[in-house]
Amino acid sequence: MEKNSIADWTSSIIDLSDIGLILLDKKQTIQCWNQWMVQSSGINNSDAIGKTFAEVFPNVKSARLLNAIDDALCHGMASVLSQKLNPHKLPLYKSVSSVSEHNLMAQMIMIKPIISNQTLCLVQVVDVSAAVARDHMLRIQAAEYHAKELHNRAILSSIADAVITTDINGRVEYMNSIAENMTGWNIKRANGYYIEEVFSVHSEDGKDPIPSIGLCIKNENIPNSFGNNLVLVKEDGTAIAIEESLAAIYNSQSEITGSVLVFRDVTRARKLADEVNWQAEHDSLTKLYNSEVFDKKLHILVESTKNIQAQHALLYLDLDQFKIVNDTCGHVAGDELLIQVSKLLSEHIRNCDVLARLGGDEFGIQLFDCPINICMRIANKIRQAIKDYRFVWGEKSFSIGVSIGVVKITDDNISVKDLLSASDAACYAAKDGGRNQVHLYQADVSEAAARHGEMQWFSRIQKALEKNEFLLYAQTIEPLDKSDTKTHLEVLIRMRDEQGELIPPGAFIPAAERFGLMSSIDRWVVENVFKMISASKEYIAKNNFNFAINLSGQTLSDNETLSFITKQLEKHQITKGSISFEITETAAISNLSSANTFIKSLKAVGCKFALDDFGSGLSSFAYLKNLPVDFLKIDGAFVKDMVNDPIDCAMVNSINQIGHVMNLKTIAEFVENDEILEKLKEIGVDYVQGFGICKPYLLADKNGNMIH
Amino acid sequence: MIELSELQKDALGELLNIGMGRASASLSEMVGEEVELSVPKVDTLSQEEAIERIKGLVGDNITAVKESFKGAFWGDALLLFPEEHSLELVRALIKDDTLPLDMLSEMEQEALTEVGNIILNACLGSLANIFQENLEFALPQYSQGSCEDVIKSNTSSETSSEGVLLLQMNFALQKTKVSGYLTLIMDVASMHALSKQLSKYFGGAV
Repeated sequence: MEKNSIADWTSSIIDLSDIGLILLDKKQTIQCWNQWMVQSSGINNSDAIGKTFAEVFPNVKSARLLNAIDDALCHGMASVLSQKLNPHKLPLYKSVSSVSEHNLMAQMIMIKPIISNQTLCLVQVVDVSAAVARDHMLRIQAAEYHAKELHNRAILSSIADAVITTDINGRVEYMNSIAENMTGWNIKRANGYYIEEVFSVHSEDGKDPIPSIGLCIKNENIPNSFGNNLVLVKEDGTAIAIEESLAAIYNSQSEITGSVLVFRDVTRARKLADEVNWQAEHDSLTKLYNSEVFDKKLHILVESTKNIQAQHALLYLDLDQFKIVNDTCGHVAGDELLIQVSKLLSEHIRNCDVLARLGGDEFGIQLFDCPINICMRIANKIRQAIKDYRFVWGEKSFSIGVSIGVVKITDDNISVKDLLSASDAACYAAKDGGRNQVHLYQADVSEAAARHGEMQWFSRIQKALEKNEFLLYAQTIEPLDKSDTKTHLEVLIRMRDEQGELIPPGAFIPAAERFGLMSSIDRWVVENVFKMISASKEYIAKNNFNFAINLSGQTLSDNETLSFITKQLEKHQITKGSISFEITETAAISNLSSANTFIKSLKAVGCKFALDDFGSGLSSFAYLKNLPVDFLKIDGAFVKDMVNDPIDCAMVNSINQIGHVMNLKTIAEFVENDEILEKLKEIGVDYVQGFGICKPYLLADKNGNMIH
Repeated sequence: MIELSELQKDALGELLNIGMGRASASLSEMVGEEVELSVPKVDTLSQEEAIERIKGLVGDNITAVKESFKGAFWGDALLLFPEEHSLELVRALIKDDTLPLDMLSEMEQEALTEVGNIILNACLGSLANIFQENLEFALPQYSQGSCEDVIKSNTSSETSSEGVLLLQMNFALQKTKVSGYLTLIMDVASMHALSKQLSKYFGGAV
């Protein structure tokens, strides 16, 4: 009874099963056919049991299924028949309606042997419709996802920036082709590597390595960028300047799931920026710092000196004969000279010092932590080096000089502005002292007083110009050739002070030069001489007077004065050939090109020119060829000692000869006695002038009329 | 553990290739495309060695189909693929629209199980057939994971003196070439029984 009931239970369980169960004996006769099979096949238990499998399913021809049953029964083998590889093996349906629709059930069949006293075969059929539906859904979703992914990748591949994405651990998941090119890694190889291994960057100065992105994600602290001036090191070791930005990738629950890194090559932009920065700070010609940077650095130096015991120094340098090179050989030569001088200067300072070109031919040096005695030594070395240096241009060779003003920078010092003007003043003092000198700025009384004195001259000269407090004087220039019947006069100038005392030109001319008043004085002389000539026309014509008027270097480069003189010549109807102008050799050469223009313009309207103080400067005779002058005035310094000094005598002789070869008339100044006069006659000089011939005398009265 | 002689290994390779011939015939028929299967190499190793060898050859992520068998000799037969090869193989066989997933769907797992089943049945069946012995097989099971987990968790016998027969196996479809490994994990007694069967079949030659 018990046994029966267990058998009943077993049969019920088989019928309750959610899969199809068929039990076959050795002859493939169906021994068991459960309820699930009845429902799915529509074949009743009684119609199945006792019949063979082939009788129940006459249309099932699948070799795989039939072989599997055979293998189980004959060889003890178990088999699985998947839905994918063996669709719809048995004519089973989920419902009555699907029968009419011929909608076969998706099945997976398992066949296994049961070996006891006889071999049986259990066929289990599983409805996998739900799994098929899930598979189908998965396929659609995956396809959609894939399409979206392709779409995103297409976007990422087409943008100009490099893109790398990472997973939550900072491992590379994706990189576009630009990122592949820039890093030298391809995505297949990079996949799974930590991004730091693929994207190897450091800051430009090589100091800061970037933090681990994985760590940043873990700490939920992802920076927007790793910093400025980053350099990406490619796998082959080449470096690329880049700019990058970093962002977290969030899922729909706002959790970080990875990161995206975007970067681009900024080599060109950064190079350009570097160039722009460099150019903003440097003088393009000499490659030295420019004056803005010099000022900035001086500010820093002055600030740093406050409250500490330190001594620095500021040097202001001005080349002495730069203008001559520039004017005689052109600015290309001038530029080359500046470049060479810059190199020379850099050799004399340390790396910590600052050297800058402040303007045309002016340089500045900041000597760091340098006691004044050492500083003066350095300044003198620089001066000597420049003095010893010769600038060669084509066939010409020049020696130049430098005037250096030195100022101490100490903690009790003044402002940067005052420092600069003190160094400027010291440089000026060095120039004033005869050029090629070093002058240490002393904020003492005498210098201040001297400057103060100069300031007084400035206003006095201006007042004298306004109120006609100048007087015209003259000195005769005697022709030694008696066939010249003209009376040659050099016009001189004196100033009358408030007490009526006469002030010699040596007292006020340097101040006038410094304050740029020389052109005004020259104009005053020209105007008043011409007025005098036109007022005393008859007398002058009768005596055949010729006037020589001195012009300053400033006037030579002043176009306004040139046109002023031209107008005055016309206005006063000055006889052609009766006026000559004297310009010093130094002034002419320092402004060679403008001097040339000036001379040619006035010669065109009938004026003559004399080169004054010839021989005193450093110029050679070669310059003479470039100056279309009529007279050569031999420097008085040679003349006055020529009787006793054979060298001076030889100088006078050679200047005279050269002058004559060039068809110039020669004039000797400072002829103080008859011995000199005799010597000059011997040499064959054309004109003589000096105290021994005629002392200067008042030329015009206070109304401007020529004194007879 | 027991070692098979070189001749025995060669002989076993030959016998298994007969089974492979059967398996490739039925697979070819099922997928309507020529499927070639071959066993170029047979090795006997300890289980630990086998794990290391398989790791070195296919990586640590593997897909496996296991079938236990008992009879004249007994043990577990495993068909192992590198994970990505199993994907490639199944998708090449079922010729479905390529599923852009880097893992097998449940339907695909079933299909792979069947492929494994066909191959394992054919190989073991041909041995049983030739030795004229009966083997009884359990249903194939699909598993996936690290090499060690898959191999160790599948061993039905608990003795430590297990040997592994490692057979390299190549699949060639028209466009796909995949390699996998067939491993028979057997204990000493079973290995011994197999060795005896080989000697019996080939006479004194092996």
